[in-house]
Amino acid sequence: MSVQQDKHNVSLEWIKDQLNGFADLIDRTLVAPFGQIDLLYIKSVADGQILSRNVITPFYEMENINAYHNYILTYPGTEEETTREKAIELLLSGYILLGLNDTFCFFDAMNREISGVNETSAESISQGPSDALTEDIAINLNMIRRRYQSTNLKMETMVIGDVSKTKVAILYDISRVDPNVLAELREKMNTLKVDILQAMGELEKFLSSDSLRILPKSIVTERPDRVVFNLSEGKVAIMLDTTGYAIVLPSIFNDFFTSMDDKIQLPIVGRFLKLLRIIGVCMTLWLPAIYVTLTAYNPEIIRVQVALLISGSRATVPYPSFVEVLLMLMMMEFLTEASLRLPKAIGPTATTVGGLILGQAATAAGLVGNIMIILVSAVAISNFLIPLNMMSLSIRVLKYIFLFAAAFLGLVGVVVCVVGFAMYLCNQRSFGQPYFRLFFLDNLGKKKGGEH
Amino acid sequence: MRRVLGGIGITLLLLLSGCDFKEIDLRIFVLAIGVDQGAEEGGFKISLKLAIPQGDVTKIDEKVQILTEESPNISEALRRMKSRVEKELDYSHCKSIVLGEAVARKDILHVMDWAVRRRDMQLILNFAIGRPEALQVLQVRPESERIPSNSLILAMSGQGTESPFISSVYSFQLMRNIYEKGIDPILPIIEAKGEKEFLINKIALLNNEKIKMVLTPNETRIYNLLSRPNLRTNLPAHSEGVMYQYYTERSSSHYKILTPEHGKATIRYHIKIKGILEESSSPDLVTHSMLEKIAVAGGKELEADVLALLTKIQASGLDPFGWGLHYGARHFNNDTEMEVWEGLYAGLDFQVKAEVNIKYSGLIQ
Amino acid sequence: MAKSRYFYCLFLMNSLINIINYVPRELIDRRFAGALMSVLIGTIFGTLFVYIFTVLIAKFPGKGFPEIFYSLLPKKLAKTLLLLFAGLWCVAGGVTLLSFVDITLRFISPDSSPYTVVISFLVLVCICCRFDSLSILYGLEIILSVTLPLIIYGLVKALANPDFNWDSVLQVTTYFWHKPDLMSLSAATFSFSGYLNLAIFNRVFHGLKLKHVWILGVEGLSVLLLTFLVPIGYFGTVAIDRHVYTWFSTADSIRMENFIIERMLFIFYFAYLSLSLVSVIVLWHGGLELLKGAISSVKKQSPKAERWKEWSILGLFSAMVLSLMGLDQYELNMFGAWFLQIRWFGEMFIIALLFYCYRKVRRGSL
Repeated sequence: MSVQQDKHNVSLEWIKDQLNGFADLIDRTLVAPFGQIDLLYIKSVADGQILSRNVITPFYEMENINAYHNYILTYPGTEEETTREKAIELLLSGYILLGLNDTFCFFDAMNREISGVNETSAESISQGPSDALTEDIAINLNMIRRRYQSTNLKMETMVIGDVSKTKVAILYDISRVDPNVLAELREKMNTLKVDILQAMGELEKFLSSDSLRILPKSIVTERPDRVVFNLSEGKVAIMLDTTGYAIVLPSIFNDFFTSMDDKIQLPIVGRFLKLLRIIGVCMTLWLPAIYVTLTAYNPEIIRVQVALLISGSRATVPYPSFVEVLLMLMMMEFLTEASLRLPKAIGPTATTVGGLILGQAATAAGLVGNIMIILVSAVAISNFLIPLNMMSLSIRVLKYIFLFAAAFLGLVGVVVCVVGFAMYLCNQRSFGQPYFRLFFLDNLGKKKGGEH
Repeated sequence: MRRVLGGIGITLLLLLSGCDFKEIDLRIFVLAIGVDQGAEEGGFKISLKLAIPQGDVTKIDEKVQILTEESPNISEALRRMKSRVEKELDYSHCKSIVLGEAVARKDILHVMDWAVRRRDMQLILNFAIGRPEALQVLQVRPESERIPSNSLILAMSGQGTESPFISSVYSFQLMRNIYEKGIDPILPIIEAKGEKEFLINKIALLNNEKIKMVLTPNETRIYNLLSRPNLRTNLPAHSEGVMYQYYTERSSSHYKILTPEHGKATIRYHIKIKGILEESSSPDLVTHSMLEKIAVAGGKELEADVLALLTKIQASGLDPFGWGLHYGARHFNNDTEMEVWEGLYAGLDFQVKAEVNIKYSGLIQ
Repeated sequence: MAKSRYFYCLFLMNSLINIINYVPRELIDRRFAGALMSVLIGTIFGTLFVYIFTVLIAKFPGKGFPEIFYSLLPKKLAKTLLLLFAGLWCVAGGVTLLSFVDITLRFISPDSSPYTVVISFLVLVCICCRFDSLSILYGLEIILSVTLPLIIYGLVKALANPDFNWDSVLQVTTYFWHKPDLMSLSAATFSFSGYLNLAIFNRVFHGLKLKHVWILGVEGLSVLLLTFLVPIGYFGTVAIDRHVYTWFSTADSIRMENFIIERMLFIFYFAYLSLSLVSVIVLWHGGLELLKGAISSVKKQSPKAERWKEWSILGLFSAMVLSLMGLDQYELNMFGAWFLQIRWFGEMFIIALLFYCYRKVRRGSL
């Protein structure tokens, strides 16, 4: 059973030599009446309690060295056969090297600083589960497995990052997943070359090659139930150790407007919420552009009473409406960003002060029109209806394109831009899946590839 | 490389578009145009009613400016007025054109052609005749008015008041009826009553270019009853020496042109009204049988009124209801039908059947 | 690998777009001289054409014209034919684009420079028609699903308007018994020629199976009748002559009472501008692929060379449009009328050609 270690390959001396200069490298020898063992570990990554409870204490309670060896081997994390590189890797990740007679064992005493299962913070919903993914991949996998108890749920693991050695797990339901997607993903993951990988966003960025893209093509989520829901729809989830998020792909446009609430609510309510989100997106995208069109190019579109109102509210404004909109939008963006970065205690203060100044003072001073203020707040609020942060940010950027089009070409520009945007969306593919189509549900789960 | 090209493209596009727009606050909206006869023969006196927007919405105070200019043609007058205001005149919100009575009695074709031809003028602007002059009508500023010229817009388009005496005529309608064979246009008449009030309760019947006849308010109401469904009005009924007024909740009218082989061509009108009793000059209780009597009496009176109007219109030789078109639309002898119709017209007979049905006596009996 | 419903989208797009494409003009010019009869006969012809063409092209699953022609016709002939067809497609898109530039300048922004407008259209169209066929079909479907409700709303509003004069419409229908003439026949059949886009888009249809071809006939007929008769209800049988863009004037005559936008014109403009931009994208995508097929060489080219080729073809198309910008309203009308007629003969020719190809394939396989 015990395999003779290749002395030329792994030796205590060689390892010690490699780890020279590690202040927290502990090298001990335990002596008992029937024999002795060598212990070698790095104190900062190995758990002292596990060490004393599971390694040292049993050693003194055993009768002979072979019994102890067998005992150590019963632990699931224990590794025996290794190469030199693997040995170093294991030590660095918190394993303890046990020198028993002439053989080596690596005992898993990894010290995991676990942050525990927390509540969701970025994607909270009013009713329904509130557990968020943790920063430990084992716990995450446990959470997913518990919610998806099927033999079809397959998992592949790999390590990415030359330095960070981040563990990555790819999960999918083999009976539903699109094999093309999986193949493309594997190919991309295998060609990935990075030193450090510690955020989901980075991986997401590496996976989609286009540098000019503005729309996210994979969901980064912290909700295990969203991961599970998407797995059941035939998607692939990627988990990264130490991040607390999972990537779901391929994700299409529609997925970014699905909140987990929709499943919980009554069907009609769920649809209404979805409709609200769609209207919200349309508003936040096009309201500034429409305002500029109406005031600068085509005031004849709206009825005369409204036109006179707008004209009146702009009577004191000394610059074109385009500048007015841009100014206020920028102010709003500053406010949003500022309240995000500020500590929780003074966040609301900034919002109140900013809101007051922007809303009240700017109109009172005649720098912007009243209607403009209503519009900007509508734009800001409707932007927050989008459940997923990445999409919400993309939409925030996109509205400026429409705004510029409106500023230079009026209604024609807006229409051309809308058509262009629709065509652009339709031209996008997320891992071979059409990104934006009318009937999204055509080939979810049941059909693979094939007909679109 | 691509980025540089893209940059150049965008810059070019921006340069190309330049500044070919006028901000809303640099435009001044013309809400109504008045066309009167100029002092010179054949000239026009054009008046524009301009809306001046208010900066402070809470302080409601209507501000209106009226410009007047005389010129041999309309375009010239408008161009000249441009240099009398500091902002660009914008006609896209012009909702009414008021023709002075003198112009309407001479020729409306010219003005109509101009209004329909201009690309920035809507096809849904209301045409009307102003009495005594268009300018006076434009100058009317009712107390209740909050947005400049709004009262005129609301009254003319039927969005506000639903007076049975007003019939609105859009420019596309006017044009259609002028050129169409077998139908003649009408125009409502707006009378200025001093500075603060106007009165719209008559319509003028035109042949294809000028006023031929003006209907009285009562005739106008009957005309409206015949020409559109669900006119909301009150109509009289005298029964047993008591005067009643009933309110028409629903009304409809249809006609048929009968051309028997022998005998005269006849137009048979069928009017159906569902009404509610609104007023009674006697304190007596209204019973069911009385309600029926009132209905019959009301029907009789209405029939007489309608018949009087129809014969009056026939006598003038005009065709505001489009009987000729109606006749043509049901005959396939395309080349001769209009001539046949003209032969029939003078000798037309009218039969009117009014079916008044008064359902309720109101809240009290 | 597109579903058959995309074929209906292509068809619907084309029949809706005919409202701006000189069709109402030509029909209305002949309203007293057999336009209605032509509409009826055109419907029969059009449906027949659709049926024959789709049946024939279904025999070549996944193949566009270039592939069919190169495999069955002499190479020189195939090249010339493709070149001709590419020209036809390019002009079809160009005509739509030009009339929309004119409409924009008339109704929406009289102050804009025509070149700004046309260049912004061209930029969009040129970028988008290089997308792959499937994406364009998806885009078409999306735009249709947005614009169709608006157009239907406009139509309902137009017909429900109490100022709509039914007598005028009936008066025109009494002119039914006149013999049809060629011009209005070719105008009427334009409503049905959406099927021609299959010349390229057949590449993504595998085994196109059409159920209920009669629906296409009914749809085309109703669209044609609406196109022809609704403006007459608004402007009468005589004054209709005087409106240049009958349908936009019609839309301008419709008022919406309870809405922040009062004039139907703008709703209509929005719907039709987006629809016609997509239709130009679809047409030019066809033209681009046909021309690429015509000048393709045997050896595979690098992506960069391919890109250059595409851009130079699109440059050529755009230059065609820009050079026609100088036409005035009457010349443009004339041009449109000519296009309508040539197109119809082209259609017949294409069907005959396809039939020949089909015969050849069958003989080859026997």
